[in-house]
Amino acid sequence: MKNKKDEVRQLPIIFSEVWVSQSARKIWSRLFSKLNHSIVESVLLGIVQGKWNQKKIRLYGNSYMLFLERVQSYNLLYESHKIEWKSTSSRICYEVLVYRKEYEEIILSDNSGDSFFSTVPLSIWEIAQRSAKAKKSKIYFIEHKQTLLSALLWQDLGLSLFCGTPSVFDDNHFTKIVMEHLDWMRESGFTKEVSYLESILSWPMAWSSYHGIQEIKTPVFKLFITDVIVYGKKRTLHLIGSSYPNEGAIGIQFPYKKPKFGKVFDSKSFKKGIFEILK
Amino acid sequence: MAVEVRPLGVSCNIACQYCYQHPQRDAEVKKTSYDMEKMKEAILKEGGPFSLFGGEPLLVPLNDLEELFAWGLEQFGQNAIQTNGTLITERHIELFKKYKVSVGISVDGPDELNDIRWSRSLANTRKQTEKTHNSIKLLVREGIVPGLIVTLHKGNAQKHLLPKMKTWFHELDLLGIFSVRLHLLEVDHETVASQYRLTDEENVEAMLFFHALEKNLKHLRFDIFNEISNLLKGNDLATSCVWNACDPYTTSAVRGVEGDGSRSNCGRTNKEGIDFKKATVPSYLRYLALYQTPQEDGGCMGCRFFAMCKGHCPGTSLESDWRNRTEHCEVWKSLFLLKEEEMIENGEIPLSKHVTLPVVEQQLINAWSNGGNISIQAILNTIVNLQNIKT
Repeated sequence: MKNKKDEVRQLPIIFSEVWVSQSARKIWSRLFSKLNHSIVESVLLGIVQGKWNQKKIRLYGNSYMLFLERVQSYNLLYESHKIEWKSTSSRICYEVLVYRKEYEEIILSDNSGDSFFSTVPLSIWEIAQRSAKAKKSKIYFIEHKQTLLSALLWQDLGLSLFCGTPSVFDDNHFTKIVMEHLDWMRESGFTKEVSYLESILSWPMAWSSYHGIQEIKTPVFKLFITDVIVYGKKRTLHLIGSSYPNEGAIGIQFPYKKPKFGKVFDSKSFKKGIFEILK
Repeated sequence: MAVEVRPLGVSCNIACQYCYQHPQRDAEVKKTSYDMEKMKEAILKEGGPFSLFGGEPLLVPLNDLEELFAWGLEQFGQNAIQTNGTLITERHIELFKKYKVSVGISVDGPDELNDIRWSRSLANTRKQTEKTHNSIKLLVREGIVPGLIVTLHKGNAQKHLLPKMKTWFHELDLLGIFSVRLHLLEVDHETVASQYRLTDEENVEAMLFFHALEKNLKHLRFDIFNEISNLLKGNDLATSCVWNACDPYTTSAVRGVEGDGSRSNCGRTNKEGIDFKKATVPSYLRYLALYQTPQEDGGCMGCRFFAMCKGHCPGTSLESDWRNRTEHCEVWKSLFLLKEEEMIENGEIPLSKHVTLPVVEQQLINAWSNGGNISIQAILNTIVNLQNIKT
């Protein structure tokens, strides 16, 4: 729920990311690119092979270019819509509906009221607040166990497993969609990619939003991106994970793995200083 | 914008209680080796010249230091080093002279006023302090006048300690020291905060004390006061990075080169204890957000000093969250007000009260919105040029 100080303010959409190490960047950039490719490819294969008659998906940045390249080779049709509220000049977001030619008339005459054009979805904070299993130990701070729906937080890296947005992190309907997609990817020969996806979807993650800037931290990188909502008080969500990549950093804050012993702050020398100085 | 080269990362021979690099020391494995060729390659790619940094850069063996300095002089005509001064020997001074090394020393005061720059025990800390002070004297005697960085905290800047600091600065002035940078304590740990952090009132009192003291010093200047005056005059070209809209993901003013040749950011933003690698492109979202965020929420909305201050360094932000303005806002505001008043008394109009301020602010916002940064000086030059064209 927005408090009266939260507002929707016009900050340009800006994105930036940093990696914990060169090796993490080298390994995981390449993998994320591969995962994007496998997600796009599996959607197209699914429609061609009759798994789905149509499929909506969100594509960010280069994923959309990849999609345009591949959709032609499969002889499929598509409608696409640029989502302004998530767009930047370098990271355009497109919502795409892909379908087989024989469904063209049905799609175009669809008056079911299910608008192709998305409305602004719930924010991550709103989703977290509504989630039944969320632990709210402090005001504006939520902990939740990692679920497949943390895929929402990966969208800005182009890993979009579904269109639309669940309203809770424990949403059975969307979880089913994600699991169905992952199963299909396995059937289509993307077993390795699925295991990577399942792995990253079990990493600990920290999301926060403050003054119109979201920051997402994972074990191998952190990024910031403009938030549509400007929170006057910081909102924090910790997704407690169950696995940690080899390239993940050791750090002193969540979501990083803490060192067993702080060489400075836990040391006898530091404590001695606290005791003796200024006496 | 010098390149900061850290052959041994944050390894240090002492352990100042407040050091902003402690989160990184807690988290990472100590670096014990470096690759000279990879460092040189990285420095060349960054365009040099460079300053040797740490931790404590004098932990690097003498022969490697000489190799780096010799190469630095050949490539760039100059060298620099920032050190705690405890390890300087006659041999180091020979190198400094031979290879034109500018020396910066971090020290917080004489005797017990430097105790927070801790080294295992009180006895050893006092010994290291003595070494640092002896190094300063030795350097000056040898014709190398070091610049000093002095951090203010409860150990040296509470009211009852200021007279001793005054005496010390007078001694330094007589010695020939002419440049002292005063730092406010950046806190990254709650114990450090509770033990050593000065209140805003204490910081302001100390700063005003040193400002008044400066008038009675022959040569020694605290660069912060001149910087704030220059900012109010629209001269921001030679001001330090804290006033210049630093992006915490790229920290453009600090081009760090590590021992393995990798690039790193300014350590003040490493709150997680992780030496993140630089983002590819700077962005100024922090400043756009601060401009629009009410002051009671941690922003800078409506502050007439925003164009000059810009919320200050992201490493000193409220709650250690770079999206907030600096936690030292009240201190800086006090100094801006002081210098603003001085200028007005001298018949000058400070930028904070000038008719062009809204234009300057808007130009900054435009630049940041388009992914760029611009100096106040450049904006004012454009305004003057446009006026000349019109007339």
